[in-house]
Amino acid sequence: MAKFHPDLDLLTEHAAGNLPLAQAACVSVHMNYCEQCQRTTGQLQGLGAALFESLHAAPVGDTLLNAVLARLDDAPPLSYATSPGWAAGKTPAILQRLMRGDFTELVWKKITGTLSISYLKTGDPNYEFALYHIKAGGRIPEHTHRGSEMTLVLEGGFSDADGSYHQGDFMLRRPGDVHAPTAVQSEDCICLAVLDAPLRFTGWQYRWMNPFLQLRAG
Amino acid sequence: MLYRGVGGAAVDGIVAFFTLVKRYRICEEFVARWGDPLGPGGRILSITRGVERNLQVADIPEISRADSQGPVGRRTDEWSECLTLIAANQDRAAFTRFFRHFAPLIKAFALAGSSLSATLADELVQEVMLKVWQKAGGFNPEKAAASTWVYTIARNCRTDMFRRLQKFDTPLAEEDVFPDQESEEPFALLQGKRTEERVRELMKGLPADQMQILAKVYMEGKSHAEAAAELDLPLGTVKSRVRLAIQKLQIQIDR
Repeated sequence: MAKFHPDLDLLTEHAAGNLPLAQAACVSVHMNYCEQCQRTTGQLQGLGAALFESLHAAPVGDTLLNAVLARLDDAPPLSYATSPGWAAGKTPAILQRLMRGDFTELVWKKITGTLSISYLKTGDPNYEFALYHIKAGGRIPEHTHRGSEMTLVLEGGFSDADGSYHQGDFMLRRPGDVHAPTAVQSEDCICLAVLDAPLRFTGWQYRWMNPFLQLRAG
Repeated sequence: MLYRGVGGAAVDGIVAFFTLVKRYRICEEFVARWGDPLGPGGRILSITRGVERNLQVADIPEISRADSQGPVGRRTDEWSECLTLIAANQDRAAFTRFFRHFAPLIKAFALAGSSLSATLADELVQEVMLKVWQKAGGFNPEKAAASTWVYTIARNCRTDMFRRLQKFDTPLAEEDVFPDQESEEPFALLQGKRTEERVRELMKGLPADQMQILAKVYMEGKSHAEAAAELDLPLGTVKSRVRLAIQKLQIQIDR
């Protein structure tokens, strides 16, 4: 059960459909692990529906109705024998869609001895959407954020000065937050990270890499 | 150990007490505003005046004490029934009734904040209504009102349309971001539906400044930051108005 959640502002923007695609996808993956946020989002959608019902109706003529009726034969009803939906314990459906295969089949780019990154393509031009693989007990060099960073733990766990995070836990870092996450000792950690600006390493051993860190959006 | 137990119980007691007080106050407000919904001569019918013209006489069930759903429950039932008919028999008459009610709302949603042209708004209406036809079998009347279901389809289609217009090259559709949830426990389902009805009732009491922002966020599809810029308000004010409104609507954030 996830212990760290998107805050209410984020959930509202999500329920209203206003988050950028990459961020919406990340929040959606969190829901896969979190029934509470599913419920809250359900209620926030109910709020949207109440506003929707109270809109001033815009006139729609019969031409449009007839156009739709004429197209019904080309739109056969979908069958709902099996519902895809959320399934705990499995790789979230939305990630499967982006990955074509499982974590081992991805192309991993080695950044340090313990950290590899695999970039996934969401089509969102402003956000990088990447999987981070940290070896058990491994540490990501201390870094700060130039923009916002959403992180979601998919497997294993990690901790930093603010707490320890496990499967389904969601974090939003803001510009200027500095941290040095360390993966749990018992197993490798895989996280999803969504960024709108590249990281910046703060330790002297890694600072030289900063000019080479580019945002892989898209 | 003992102290902790006693302290914990005391805290639980206090929480339970205030929950009760809160509930009681809601009932009181509700009765003061609308009259006792279950009482004789129920004022429910006067509230539903706007709804009545959409209902056939035969569709209005007897108001019984057991039926605590209130006016909104019955109203949504007509549209739920339409969806059931569409799913079961591909009933075009039911679809037509559904279209006449919801298409104007979908069009208004498309035009909100002048985000789409009239032509694109019509296109969106077509897309959403075709989805309604195709997905009616996936609608679960136990879980949500028909209007909530339609709203989520309209929201998803509108977002997809925005992304197409911006030439996003993406393997994801908004339906992937909001997949159909698997069925939950019956109790949770019932609670969810009651919450929806409560939100509808309580919304009538929201102050104009909060309604204005909710409309911007939900209907015009503006982010909190965009809403703040348009209304020339600090971002913090927008966020706190949204949060206040959500609190007043008694949306539970349980964690």
